[in-house]
Amino acid sequence: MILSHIQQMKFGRSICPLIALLLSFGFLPASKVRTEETPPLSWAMRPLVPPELPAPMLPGWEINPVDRFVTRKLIENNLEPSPSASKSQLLRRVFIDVWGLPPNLEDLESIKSTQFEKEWPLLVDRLLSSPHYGERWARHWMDLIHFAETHGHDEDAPREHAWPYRDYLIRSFNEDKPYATFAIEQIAGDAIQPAHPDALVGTGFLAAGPWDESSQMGILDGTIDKLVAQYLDRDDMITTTMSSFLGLTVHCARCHDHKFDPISASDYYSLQAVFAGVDRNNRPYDHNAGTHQKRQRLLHLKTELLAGRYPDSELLDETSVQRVTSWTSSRQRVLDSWQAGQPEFDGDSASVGEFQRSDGSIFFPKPASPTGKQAWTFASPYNHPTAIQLEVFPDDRLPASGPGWATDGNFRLSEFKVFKRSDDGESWTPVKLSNPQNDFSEHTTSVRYLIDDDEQTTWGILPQTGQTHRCYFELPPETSIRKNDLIRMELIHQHGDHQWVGRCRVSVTDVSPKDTHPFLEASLQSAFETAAIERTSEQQLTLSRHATMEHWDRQLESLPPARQVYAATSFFQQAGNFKPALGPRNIHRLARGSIHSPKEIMAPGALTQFTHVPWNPNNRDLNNESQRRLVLGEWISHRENGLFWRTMANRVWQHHFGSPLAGTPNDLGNSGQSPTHPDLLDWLACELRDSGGSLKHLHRIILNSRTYRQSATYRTNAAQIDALNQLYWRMSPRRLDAEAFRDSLLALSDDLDPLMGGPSVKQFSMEPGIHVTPIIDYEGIKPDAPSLARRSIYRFLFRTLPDPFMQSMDCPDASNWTPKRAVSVGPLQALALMNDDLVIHRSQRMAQKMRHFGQELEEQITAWFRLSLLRTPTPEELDAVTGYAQKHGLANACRFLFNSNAFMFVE
Amino acid sequence: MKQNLSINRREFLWKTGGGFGALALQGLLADTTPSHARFPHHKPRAKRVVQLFMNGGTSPMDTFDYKPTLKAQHGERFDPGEGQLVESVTNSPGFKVMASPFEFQRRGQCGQWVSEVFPHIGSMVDELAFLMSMHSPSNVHGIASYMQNTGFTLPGFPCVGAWVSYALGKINRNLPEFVVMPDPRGLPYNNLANFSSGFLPAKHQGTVIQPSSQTPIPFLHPPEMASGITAEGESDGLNLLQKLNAAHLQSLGGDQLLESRMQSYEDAARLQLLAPELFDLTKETSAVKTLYGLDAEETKDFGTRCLMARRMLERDVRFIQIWSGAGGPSNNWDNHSNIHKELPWIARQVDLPVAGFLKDLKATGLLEDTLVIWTTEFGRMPFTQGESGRDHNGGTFVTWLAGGGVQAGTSMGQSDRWAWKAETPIWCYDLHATVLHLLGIDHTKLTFRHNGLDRRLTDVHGEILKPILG
Repeated sequence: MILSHIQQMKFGRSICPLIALLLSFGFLPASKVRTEETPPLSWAMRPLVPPELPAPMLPGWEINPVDRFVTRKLIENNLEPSPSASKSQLLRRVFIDVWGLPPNLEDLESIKSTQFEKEWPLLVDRLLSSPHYGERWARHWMDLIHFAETHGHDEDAPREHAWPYRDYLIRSFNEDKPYATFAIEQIAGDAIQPAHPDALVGTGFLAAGPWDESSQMGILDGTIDKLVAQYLDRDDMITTTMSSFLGLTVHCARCHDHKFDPISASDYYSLQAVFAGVDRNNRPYDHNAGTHQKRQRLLHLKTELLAGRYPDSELLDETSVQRVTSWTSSRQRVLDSWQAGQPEFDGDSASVGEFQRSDGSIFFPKPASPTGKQAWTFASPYNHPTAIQLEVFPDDRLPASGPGWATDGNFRLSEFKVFKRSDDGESWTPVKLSNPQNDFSEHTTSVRYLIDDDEQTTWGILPQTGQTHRCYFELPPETSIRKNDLIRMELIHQHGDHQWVGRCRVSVTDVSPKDTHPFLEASLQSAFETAAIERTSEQQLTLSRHATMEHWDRQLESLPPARQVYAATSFFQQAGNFKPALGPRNIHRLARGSIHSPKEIMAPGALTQFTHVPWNPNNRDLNNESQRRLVLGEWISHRENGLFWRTMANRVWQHHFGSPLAGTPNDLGNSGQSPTHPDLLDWLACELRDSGGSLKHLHRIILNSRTYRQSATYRTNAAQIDALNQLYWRMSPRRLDAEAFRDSLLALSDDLDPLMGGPSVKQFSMEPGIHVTPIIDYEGIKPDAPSLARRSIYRFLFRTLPDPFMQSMDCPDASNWTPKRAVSVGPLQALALMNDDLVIHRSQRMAQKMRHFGQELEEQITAWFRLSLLRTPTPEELDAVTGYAQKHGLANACRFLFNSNAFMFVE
Repeated sequence: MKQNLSINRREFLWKTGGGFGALALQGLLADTTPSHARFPHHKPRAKRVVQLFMNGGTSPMDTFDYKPTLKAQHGERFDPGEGQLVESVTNSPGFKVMASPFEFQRRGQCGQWVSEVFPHIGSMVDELAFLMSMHSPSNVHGIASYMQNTGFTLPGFPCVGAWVSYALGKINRNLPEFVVMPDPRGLPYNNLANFSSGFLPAKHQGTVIQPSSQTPIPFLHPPEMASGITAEGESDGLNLLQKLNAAHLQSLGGDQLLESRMQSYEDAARLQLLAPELFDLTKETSAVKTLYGLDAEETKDFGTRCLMARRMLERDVRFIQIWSGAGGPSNNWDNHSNIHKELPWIARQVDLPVAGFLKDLKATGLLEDTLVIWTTEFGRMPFTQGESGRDHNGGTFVTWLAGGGVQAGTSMGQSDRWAWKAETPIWCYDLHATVLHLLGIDHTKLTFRHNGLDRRLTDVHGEILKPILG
C-alpha cells in the first residue's frame, strides 16, 4: 500500500525529504524513485478543454454551472449543501468580499427580503461596477507579487514613485482589463504600447519586489558579489512573473533541472536572458499620450546612442556636423567667460604674490612660516557671478615644478574661503560655496574638505605634480555681488611643513551652473581641444555623440515635467556603481547555480517542454531587450497556455471562498496539490479565456451561485465526512483580514476618506536614519491624523518595518510572495486588537456616532449591532453589553465589540 | 487516483483522530503546524537558546583568531599567492597587511588565544566552544545578516528563532516563545527582517522587547494618551468578550479557530499581568547588578538586556536574541576606519556583561540546558582600509557556543595564516543544524512547504558540528 503510493508520488504529491527518508530506511530501491526522464506536464499544464457540464442533480441547484459541479461532488460523497445564509449575513459577506468594506443600513434596507432572489444579481453588478472593487482586488495582487515601497535589505530606501503602479492595478481591475492584456502590460507594457503611458506603468510589476541597494550601488561592477546581486535580482523577476501568472515554481530550476516539473535549468537561464536588460528604477512617463510618445522616443534614442547602437552615419551627417560646430562654439564661450581680476593683497595675507599678466595667475614666493594664509581681493567682472574656480599651475621656480611649495611639488590646502563686502561696506561676509568638483585628488584628500570648515582636512594632488589642476564651486544664486564689487579670497594652509600653493588663479563666470560643465570626460575634452580640421573621425564621433545627446536633452527639457514610476527599465542615470544595462546583458547558464561555474551564453526563451505553446518571436528583434519580454508576455498569456487561465481562475475562487480549488495556488505543478474539483476549475478557466479574459464575468458567475450563498452554520454530520469543507457543503467562516478590519472600522465610524489613488500616505513619522534606511515610528502620528483615514490600500508599504498592527493581523511584509495569507491567532494579536490606537480611537468615534441613534444606552448598543452586523442583538447580547457600557462607557464597549468573533468573522 | 488519496487521508483522520473537535483543529490549523510533527526527534540537550549577535562584522584577527603572520608582514602588500583574486567590496586600495594593534594571550586551561579587547570573556574560555573558521558567501551586511539569521541570502525566509518557535512552541504559555532585544541605538541591518517568520505563520516572528522603553512589549497596554481605560474595565471587558464569543460559537455550531481566538485573549491578559514582574529589576541584588555591569555607563545597556535574558530564561522563554550595534556605518562592529579606536569601544560594552551573564547562568544552573551563541555576520580583512580600518570579509570569522550539550573548552576549524579565508569552512548551515540538533530536532526533518518547495532552515546542507559537542 505504502509502496504503491510512493510510486504514485514520483509524479504526484511527492515530497522529496519524505522519499529521502524512506530510501534511507531501505524501503525502496533508489531506481524506482529517481528518474532521468523529463517529468510530464502536470494536470494544469495540459491544454485546456471545456469540460462537460454535470447533469442537474438537485432542484434549485441546476441553473448556475458552478452549483452543478459542486452538488455533483457533494452527492457523490453523501453530502448535501447548506441552505442560503440570511440576508444580513450575505450582505456582509459579499461587501467584504468584493469591496473590503462593510455594507450600510441603506444597503440592507434597499433590498427587500421577498425580492432577494431577483435583487441579488443586481447587487452583484452594483458591487462589481464600483471602484471599491478594484481597491479590494488590487491588494490580493499586491500580496502575490510582494509589492512594497521600499527596497528591503539593509539599505531600505523609500521608493516615492512606486504608487502609480498600485493605481494602475486598481484601474485595471475596475476597467475589467482583458486578463491577457493585464499580463502583457505588466511584463512588457513599454514594448507593446509605446504610446500608451498606462502600459508602461504596468511594468512596475517587475520592480515590485526587494532590491539590494548596497550590492547594486555600493559594489564595484564585475566583482563576484555584484554579479550575484544581478542574477538574484533577475531571479526575483522570474519568480514573480512565473509564479503569479502561471503558478509555476520555475525558480526551483536555478541549480538543477526541476525535480517534478518539466522545467530544465536551461529553461530557467533562458528566462534569465528574457530579463537580461532590465533593472529597477524610476522611469519617466507622461499622462498626455503625445508627450509620452515624444519623451519615450527621445529616451530610446539616448539609450541607443549610449549603448553604441546609434548609426555612425547619422552622427556624421550635416545636421550633426552643425550641432558639433554650435556646441564647440558655445563651449568656447563658456571657457572664455572665466575671468580673473587683478589681485590686491592686504596686511592680512601672510604672503604677497606677484600677478602674472600673461595668464592672470599669481605666483607666491617661498612661504616664511609652516602654516598661514594667502588673502587677496579682486573686482568682480560680472553682475551676479555664478561659479568660481581655483586653478593651480606648475612653475619652474617651484620644487619639482610645483604647483605647491612642498619639497615634492605638492601642496596641502586646508580651506578655500570667499567673501563679499557686507552691506555696510565695513566688513566681509562669507559666501557659501557648493557642489565642489575637481579633476584629481590625492588619496584621502578631497576638494570637499576645502569648504568643510575643518582646517585639519586638506586637498592635495600627489602624485600628479608638475601639472595644472582645477577645482570648481558654485556660488549661491542669491549673492548680491555686482560688477566691480570686491571679492575676497582666502587660501588657508594649516597642514604645516610649508606645503603652500605656489602658483594659482582664481576666476569667476556668469554662465548658469547647469551650462558650465566644468569637467568634460577626457576623450571629449581632447576632441574639443583638437582643431576641427585635425580631428580624427573617432574624435568627430565623440563630439557628435555629445552634441546630439545635449540636443536631445534640451528637447526633453522643453517637455512638460514627467511623472515617474518605479518600474523595470534599461536606461536611467547612473548612481554610484548602479549602471543601466542599455540592452541585454550576457546571461550564462550557471552550472549548479554557481556563479563560479558559468557555462554557455543563453538566448531568451520560455519552457521548451510546453510544446503546445511555442516560443514565437514573430521576427521581432531579440537584441532589443523589451522585445524579449514582449515575446515572453505573449507566450505566458497565450490562448493555448491552459496554465495561465487555470492559475487565475483558481485565485478568483480562492478569494471568494477563502480557499483555492487547487490548494497550492503558486504551484500547479506535479508536486502541488491536485484540485478538489478539476472539472469546475477547468470550466472556470475556459469561461475566463472565452469571455475575453473578463474577471468580472467570473466573479458574476461565482457570486450568483447558490454555492456562494450557503450559510456558514456548522453541521456535525457533514463535518464527519468533510471536516475541511473542501467540497463546499457550507460557506467557511472567514476572519477579517488586516485591511478589511481596519477599513471597516474607518467606514463604520464615518471617518473613511473616500479619496482614491495618488501618492501613498505615510502612516508613520519619518526622519533620516544613520545610513540609508530612515527611522520611522508608527506611533509618531496622532490617531486622528487625516492620513490615517485613507483606505488601507493607500498606505505606504515599508518593507523591513511593516505596520506592527497590520502585521499582527497577518498582512504580509512583502519580503516574500504570498499567494495565501496565514490566519494566525495569538496573544500578541489580541493585545494589538485591544490596544492599538486605531481600535481605541475609532471605537471612540463609533461611540459618538451611536449616541445619535437614541437617548437610551440600549438603543445605542442596538445601533452598533445594526450598523456593524446588520442585525439586532439577542437579548443576552444586549443585556451583557449594556451592563458593561453602563459601568465602563460606550467607547470601551465598542472596543470589545470590535474584538468579538461576531465582528471579526464573516459568516 | 489522487482524489482517492486525499479522501483516504480524510478517512484516516476520522478513524484515528477521535471527536470532531480534534478533527476540525487538524484541518483548520493544517497550515500552521509543523509538517513533520512529533518533536523532539531525539533527546534534547538544551531547552532554550540565547543568541548574542554582534552586528557589523566582528574582526576575528583582533579578537580570538591570533595571527602572528600579520605582524611579520605588517605594511607589505597583501598577496595570498597562487594568483588568488583579492577583492574588497567597498574601497580598500593598497591591500597593505595590517597587524592587530592588540595584545593576545592564551587564556584558561584550554589555552584559547584572546586579545586584550575581551579581558572578561577571556576569563570564561574554558566554558566556551570556538568555531574558528565560520564562512559567509557574502561580504555585504544585509545579505550576510540574512544568511546568518535565516540561512538564505534573500529576504523572506524564517530566522532560526522562528523555526525553533515553529517546531517546539512555547514552554511558558504566558510569554512569547521568541524574544528579540535590539540595540536601543537602532535596529540592525535589514531592520525587523532579521527576526522575521518569513513564510511561517506570523506568530513565530520575534517579539521585539525593549527593556528600557516605556512599552517594552508592543501593544502590551493601551497608549498613555488613551482616556477612560481602567484595569477594572479591561477585566470586565474580557469577561464580556468571552460571553459574547461563547454565544457566537454556539450559534455557529462549534469551530476550533473561534475557540483559539477566545483562548488568545486569556493568554494576552496573563501576559499583561506577568510582564511588570518580568521587567522589574529592583529585586536583583547589587552583586548581580555589578556582575552584569549595570553600575557602569558603558556596560549598563547591554548588561541590562543580558540580565533580562536571564530572567526570561528562568521563565522558560524558548529563544532570545540580543543585538549589539545598530545598522549603518557606526555604533557597531563595522570598524572601517580605525580598528584601534572603534573595536575596543564597542567590545567594552559587551565584554563584562557577557562574562557576567555566563557566570550567572552557570551559578544558577541554567547553563546546563541553555545554549548560548555569540556570533556576527562576517569577519574583516587582514589588510588596511584607509589608514587603519578593515573592510568586510566573509572569508572567515569566529563564533562561540556555550551551555547545554556543548563541550566546554574546545575549538574547531582553522583559518589561513592571515584570517583571510577559512581553511575548513564552517557554514551557518552547520551551526544551525547543530543548534537544532541540541534542541532535539533533526534539521533535515524540520520543513515547511512554500512556493513549491519543502523549505528547511539548512536548505540542502548542514553538518552537525560533532567535535564541539559534549
